[in-house]
Amino acid sequence: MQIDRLSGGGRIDRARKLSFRFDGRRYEGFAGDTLASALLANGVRLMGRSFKYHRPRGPLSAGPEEPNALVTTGAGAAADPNVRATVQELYEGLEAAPQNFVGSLRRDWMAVNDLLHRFLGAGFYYKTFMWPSAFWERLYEPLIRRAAGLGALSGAPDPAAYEVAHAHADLLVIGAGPAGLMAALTAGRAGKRVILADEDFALGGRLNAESHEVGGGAAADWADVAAAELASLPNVRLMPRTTVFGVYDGADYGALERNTDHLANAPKGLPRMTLWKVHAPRAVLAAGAIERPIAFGNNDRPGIMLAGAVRTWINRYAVLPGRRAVVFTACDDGWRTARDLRAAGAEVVLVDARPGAGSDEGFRAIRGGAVLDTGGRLRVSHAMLRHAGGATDAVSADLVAVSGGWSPAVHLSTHLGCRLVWRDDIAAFVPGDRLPPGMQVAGAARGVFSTAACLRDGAEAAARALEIPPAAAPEAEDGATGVSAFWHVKGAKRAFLDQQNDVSVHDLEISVRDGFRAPEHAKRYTTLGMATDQGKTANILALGVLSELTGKTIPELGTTTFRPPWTPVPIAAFGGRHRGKHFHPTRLTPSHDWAAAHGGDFVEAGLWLRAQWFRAKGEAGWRDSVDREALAVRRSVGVCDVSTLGKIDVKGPEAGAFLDFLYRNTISTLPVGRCRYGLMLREDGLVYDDGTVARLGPEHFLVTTTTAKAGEVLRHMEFARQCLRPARAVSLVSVTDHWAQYAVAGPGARELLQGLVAEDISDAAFPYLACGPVTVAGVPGRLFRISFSGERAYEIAVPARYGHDLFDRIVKAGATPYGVEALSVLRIEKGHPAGAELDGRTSAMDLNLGGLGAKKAAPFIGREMEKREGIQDASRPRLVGLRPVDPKARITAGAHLLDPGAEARTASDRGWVSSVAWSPELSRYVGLGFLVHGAVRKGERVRAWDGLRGLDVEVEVTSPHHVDPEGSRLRG
Amino acid sequence: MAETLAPCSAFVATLDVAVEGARLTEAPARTLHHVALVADPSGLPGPGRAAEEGGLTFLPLGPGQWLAIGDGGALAARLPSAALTDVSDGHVPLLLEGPKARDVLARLSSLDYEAFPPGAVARTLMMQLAATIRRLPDGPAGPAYALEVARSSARSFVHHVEEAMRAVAARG
Amino acid sequence: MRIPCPFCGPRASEEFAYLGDAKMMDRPLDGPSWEAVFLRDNPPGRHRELWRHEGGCGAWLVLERDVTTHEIFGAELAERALAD
Repeated sequence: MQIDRLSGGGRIDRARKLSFRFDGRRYEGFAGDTLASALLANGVRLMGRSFKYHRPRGPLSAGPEEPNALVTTGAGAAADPNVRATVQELYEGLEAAPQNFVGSLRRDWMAVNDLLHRFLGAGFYYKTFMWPSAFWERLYEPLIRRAAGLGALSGAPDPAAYEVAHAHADLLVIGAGPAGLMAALTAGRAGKRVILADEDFALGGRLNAESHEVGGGAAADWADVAAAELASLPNVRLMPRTTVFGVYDGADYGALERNTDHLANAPKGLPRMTLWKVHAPRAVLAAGAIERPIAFGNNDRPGIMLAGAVRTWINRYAVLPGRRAVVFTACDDGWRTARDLRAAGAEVVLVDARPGAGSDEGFRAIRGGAVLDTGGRLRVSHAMLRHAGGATDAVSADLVAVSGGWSPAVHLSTHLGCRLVWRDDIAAFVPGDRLPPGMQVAGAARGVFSTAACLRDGAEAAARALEIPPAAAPEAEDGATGVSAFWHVKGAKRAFLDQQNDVSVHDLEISVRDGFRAPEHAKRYTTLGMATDQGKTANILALGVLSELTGKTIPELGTTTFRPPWTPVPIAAFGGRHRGKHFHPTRLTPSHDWAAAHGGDFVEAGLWLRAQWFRAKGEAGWRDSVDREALAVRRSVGVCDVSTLGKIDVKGPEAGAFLDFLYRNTISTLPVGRCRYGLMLREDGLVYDDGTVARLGPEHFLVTTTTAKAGEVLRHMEFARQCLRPARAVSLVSVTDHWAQYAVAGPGARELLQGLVAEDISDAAFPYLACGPVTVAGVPGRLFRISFSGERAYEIAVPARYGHDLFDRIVKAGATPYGVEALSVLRIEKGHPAGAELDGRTSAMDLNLGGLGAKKAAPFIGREMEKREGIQDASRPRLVGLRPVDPKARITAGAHLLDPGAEARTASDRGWVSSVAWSPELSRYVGLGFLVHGAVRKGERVRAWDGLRGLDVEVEVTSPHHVDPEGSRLRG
Repeated sequence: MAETLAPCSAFVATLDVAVEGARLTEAPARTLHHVALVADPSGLPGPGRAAEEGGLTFLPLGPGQWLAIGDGGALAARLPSAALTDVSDGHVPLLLEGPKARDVLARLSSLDYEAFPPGAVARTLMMQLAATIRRLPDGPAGPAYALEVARSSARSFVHHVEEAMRAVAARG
Repeated sequence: MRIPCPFCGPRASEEFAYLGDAKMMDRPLDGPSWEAVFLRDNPPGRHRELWRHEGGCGAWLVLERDVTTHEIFGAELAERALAD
């Protein structure tokens, strides 16, 4: 039964009844209701329990600034905690649950905290729970943590989808109240591209909440007409349910659009929220103002509400929040609430803190008075009043409407460092200078409060922003908006400032007494303003109280810094589509589908998926596959997809000279049709990357890089080309994706490839390190005779569209497909340095490559810095091979190298093990590592000490080339 | 000798996704070259706009660099001393068209597509991937955009386009 | 943040990769000194910075930007900046 629903009026749709559930009971409301308005209409006042003291609470406000009425909507994985009931639109079947109680909402066992409030004030956890100290970690902290928080997450992955989208406008209007609507009309009628965004589902702002007239009719009707006109303009985009939450450099704004939280059944494919990145060189901030309460004794009971919210309940939702009302105000605006309450049939007693305020209006008015205290457990039942002379009086009241004045919602204007200015005349901060570039502030957001002034102000702001004429504003009330700063009733107990975090005036007194006097310190010490509502109804009030406690004026105190977001934004919204499998793009090699269909198990290598191995039938573990593949390469022939390595096409008359500058060794002398190993240094002289350089023509080179560094190396080469300019006429093009490239390795490699390649690739015609264009099964490709494995090997390349078929042909011709694990085993057996050895700490000398380019005269990146003492030092750890003395022992990468008998201490560290593999060829573990004086310690024994895995293994120092040290397999 | 290698698309099945207001397909195969070191670039288009010439289409990529669509022989004849690199298989050509194509693009890229007339070209980031986009003349289905995206990440890219198309269609 | 690429026009900062101070361009081809590699001035004001338009045209730019106010004063192609 909607006992508190007025029989007429409101902007709800009485033709559409909706049923919903709250706290286990079923209720009815109408389309156009929020959850809070529908609950109030049904006589429900208790909607939650406060954070620390578990005091009964109901809605303080009627909007997004709500601190108390936080509920959990939805169920299961879709359960959404801390939803403001004053914002949640009602829909058929909505299920909502109250939060933060043990037992029931009406009988919360945790309310014992309220009895202990003297021990739980601000900063209590800095002064208590100290003894015994062991109890802190085991008992006190877990208890406090469990008690903390309001709502709870479901713990299951979020089933909703989110997206990020971009929008552009000549003018972004933030807020669709009177100022915002007029700004949008001004710009829209002038043909400009306008975006008008409002948090609410209905446009109009306070026009929907007041009983004023605008343009000769109801304010809300005028708002409807304005919205309809805007909707009809093709150059205007209306965005209700969209919160502009942040202002960013470069005229960029962040806005969160809620697409489905108001729908019983969301259309398939529609993301729950869209995070809009709006680029608008001009903007009008018409975000309105937020009413602030007054702090008095027990000012937080259900039924104690902001006076403006009471008008919203009556006028917009046709809900009467109480029949015996006390209105406590320090501004003219509170009198409007008294009038609207009377008109709706309530009895009113008005208490104005200002001695000479208002006029006689037919209800009892006490001037120069205050509300001292209230009573009532689950709902306010009476209020204790004090008259100007000091006499006190108790009145029965089921509603207390409070207005301490309105604070302009300036937050967005300060996101880029704008300073706020305090105005004593309205007891409020307004935006000062250094607004975000392109932004104008209009209406209540800059302290302009009458309806007529807001309408004009919005039009003028858009007019100034775009240098167009302002739209003509309709007639509207232009009443006085007097206010006196009145923050709290002195001496009152349990006078709350921040209701969400349960912070009272007394807590600020503790803070000041303990030395935390500045707003930034007091905020953090008391946690005022740090809850999900970010202190919207508390911050200015608290500043006022702090000002009185410290004796500093409000301008002297300043405010805390406002930062985005204006209201909470789910992290998933920022992520958009980039989550789970799609956190970043996936790159697939040309043989990917083939590998997936033939037992390939994939590993992420940066963005790429690469086959680690190919599971054959009957193979139990990965070692079975990898050992088989490595042996197949050494005994017969294998094929591995190496398309992921960066391939950069370098052309031009100065290409050779350019590459001489990039590499440590000389490239320009490379003959056409030959490849060369290339080593690139960083500017600090250490090794950066390695690869091969193939010369395909007098002015044509093909450079390869490691997979991991492909993008970086191209960036580095472009930096050299464009910014260091050692050579001018050179072109660099990434062709990594264009070519499918496969390593074909093993004694049978030549014979296999000769079956696919039209040209003669005998050893005489195509010796080790040869390269050139070939025809591969009728298709123009390239062949390179280079080896990573130490076997006779080639890399064959065709345009990627032929990659799938070529891989298939090579396997059908008898090659064993092998993955990156076997590739790794082979190169470790061969002693080829790779990423683990080129880790950014090693020099060319460390890698035994000091001779590469040693006689080069031309300058190259890193040359001078490589000459530093610390890099030339002969006692630096050198690349060596390592083999456990006991053939059955296991060594591990990352182990330290120590001399026999040395203690495992840093001072004894002689190097480290960089790569290890089980060698199927040698039936033992082999490794590569760096050992101090390694070049002269071959044959000696040292220890591989792994403190993490508890291994200490004697190893023999060998040449890194465990297999085929003479390199005869390569060159046959 | 065995028969000629068979080509295959970057996608598993023929790409043709259609929703209310937008359609995404793989465009027909074309030859694509990267063009640089042009001695006399006066005949080639400046930043932001494509130019057609003798069966070749030139898209400006960066200072002194273009993508050329069309026969490699004709290109070599037109620019005999330039550095030409075949990148046909490095990219996949896609076509996005329909009255809601711009709303789909808004979910992929931060460019202002209201200020992107037929003939306009841009190289930009779409869903963390670099892509080249060109607006074609409006077709019977409305605005049409030709995209070239990297082959190795084409499936990831198309997944995001499909999701964006569904999100746009779901708004009605 | 929007960066005004001289070739592509203003673009979102996500399209760019940052390297460092534009002084990195003024180094002898023979090799920079230790000071040039490791020491950098960091004044609270205007900087000339090297950015690459990696998600766009690939050009390296010298961007002039005030690191305290975030105001951007313009960008030129590094190739052109060197020519001066």
